Amino acid sequence: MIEKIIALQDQVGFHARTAALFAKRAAQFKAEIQVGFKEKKANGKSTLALMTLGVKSMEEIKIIIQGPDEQAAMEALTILIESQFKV
Amino acid sequence: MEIYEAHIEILNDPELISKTIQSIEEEGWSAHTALHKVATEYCEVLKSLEDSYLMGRIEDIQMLSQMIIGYLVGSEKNEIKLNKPSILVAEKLTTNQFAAIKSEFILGIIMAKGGTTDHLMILAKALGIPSLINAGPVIEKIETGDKLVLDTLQSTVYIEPSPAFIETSKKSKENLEQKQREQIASSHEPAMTKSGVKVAIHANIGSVLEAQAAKTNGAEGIGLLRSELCFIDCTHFPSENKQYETYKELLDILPKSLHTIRLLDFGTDKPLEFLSLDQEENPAMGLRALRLGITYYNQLLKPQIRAILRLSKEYAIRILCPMIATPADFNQIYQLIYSEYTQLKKEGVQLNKLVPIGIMVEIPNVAIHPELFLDKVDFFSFGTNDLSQFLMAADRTNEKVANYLIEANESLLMLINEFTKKAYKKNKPVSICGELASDTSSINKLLQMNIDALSIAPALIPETKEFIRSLE
Repeated sequence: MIEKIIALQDQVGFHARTAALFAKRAAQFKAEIQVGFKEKKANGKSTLALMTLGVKSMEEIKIIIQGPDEQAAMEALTILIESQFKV
Repeated sequence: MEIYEAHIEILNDPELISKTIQSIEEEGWSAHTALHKVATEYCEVLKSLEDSYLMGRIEDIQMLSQMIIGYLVGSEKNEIKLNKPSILVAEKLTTNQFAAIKSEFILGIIMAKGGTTDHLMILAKALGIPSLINAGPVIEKIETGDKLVLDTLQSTVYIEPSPAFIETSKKSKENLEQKQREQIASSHEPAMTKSGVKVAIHANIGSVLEAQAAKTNGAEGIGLLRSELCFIDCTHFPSENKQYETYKELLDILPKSLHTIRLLDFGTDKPLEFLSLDQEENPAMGLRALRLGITYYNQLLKPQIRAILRLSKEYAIRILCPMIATPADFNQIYQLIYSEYTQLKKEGVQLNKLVPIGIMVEIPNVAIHPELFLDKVDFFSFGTNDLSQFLMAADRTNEKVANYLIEANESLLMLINEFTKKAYKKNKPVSICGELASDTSSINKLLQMNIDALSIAPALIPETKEFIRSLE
């Protein structure tokens, strides 16, 4: 299992578009992906769950990944967030 | 585009799906209740975040879950609800969706896809609703609530234009409407060229609204009553009495005129809720119109023919048969109509003599070879939209090949000319009821061919009449 704390650097945080992009990218991996924010935790492959976290711009989330391709998944999601979801 | 992707993501959301299944399996809820509960939970959480942007997503989730629930309980019509006059912007609208909206609320339509002979466009044109079709990706720039100026003369849409531009646009709209009012005022006079060539101008209709527009705009008769459009919203086969009442309501708007009722032309882009048809590779050339009507004779055509014949007692009616390809097709439908006629008489219904029975000329085999039909058929009506698509092998619902359809006009005019010469000798009337009949570059040529009537969208009657009067 690997973890990483990272801030959402885009303008809005997790909104419909960004959450959907995150979930879509996460769904490409076998590993189980969770996103922690404050006391809440959400399924990283679920757009709806990510939206309900209410993450705003510049706030930090914790990405928790467990599975055979966890390294690749973490790398891909980090790139996505760092690129401010400009895919 | 991104917003649609977000919709798809919501629909595919693994947690939404797994929570719903969990609620069905563990709590024993039915599928639609389970989905409703789960979706509501998400909405509640999103609401509690008090974020104006996420509030908008709540609407998305509610809309999507209601849509699925609608499918689950079988009532889904994909309805669009408008509560104030608006311009509709969509990738593509179906005639069902359109029919479900109060048309007085539709100021205009912008669609990314579509061709000019789509049934939806025909309907919009008939009601005089400005429409921009095949507009492409521009619709992605438009957001709900944006102020739009739609200029269909220039095929342009202006998004959030300046107040000054809006004012100018309002003025040109008023001028245009003033001109239309003047045309309407003279639209009850006959259409005759300066040299005295006269042609009857009939209306194509499929609803009460269109029939009223036909009356206001000076239609001299109904050249094409698209009967299937009256029942496109039905959830079950329309019964004989339902059809009788529906047609009667339409006929009563122009009670003294000649009404040409086309037998049901279901199929292709007019699918039915009450008839689940197999997907066809090529529906425009498949089991549609009479081919379908005869397959389901007792449910579809029989009640319709009986209703029309009963009405023929009081109204001047002609029956128009769609999608006739061969003399055998015609003989078959003629025999069926005739046997319903004798049956009704046997039942004691007082009937005049059998109504005139004509055919659509929309299949090349008929257009090229009128001799096959001239002796038996009472009248002919060119359906130039379908005929164009078959002449050009270009699907009229596929915008990628829409450019071919316009190119068909010259060949259409050649075919109509030859056909009409032969029909004229046998004293059989010929009318035109497709797009060609309102195409100003073709009307002059049509008038030189002994055409009896042009049947066009009600909204186009005033300007078409004025145009004909301007011709030498």
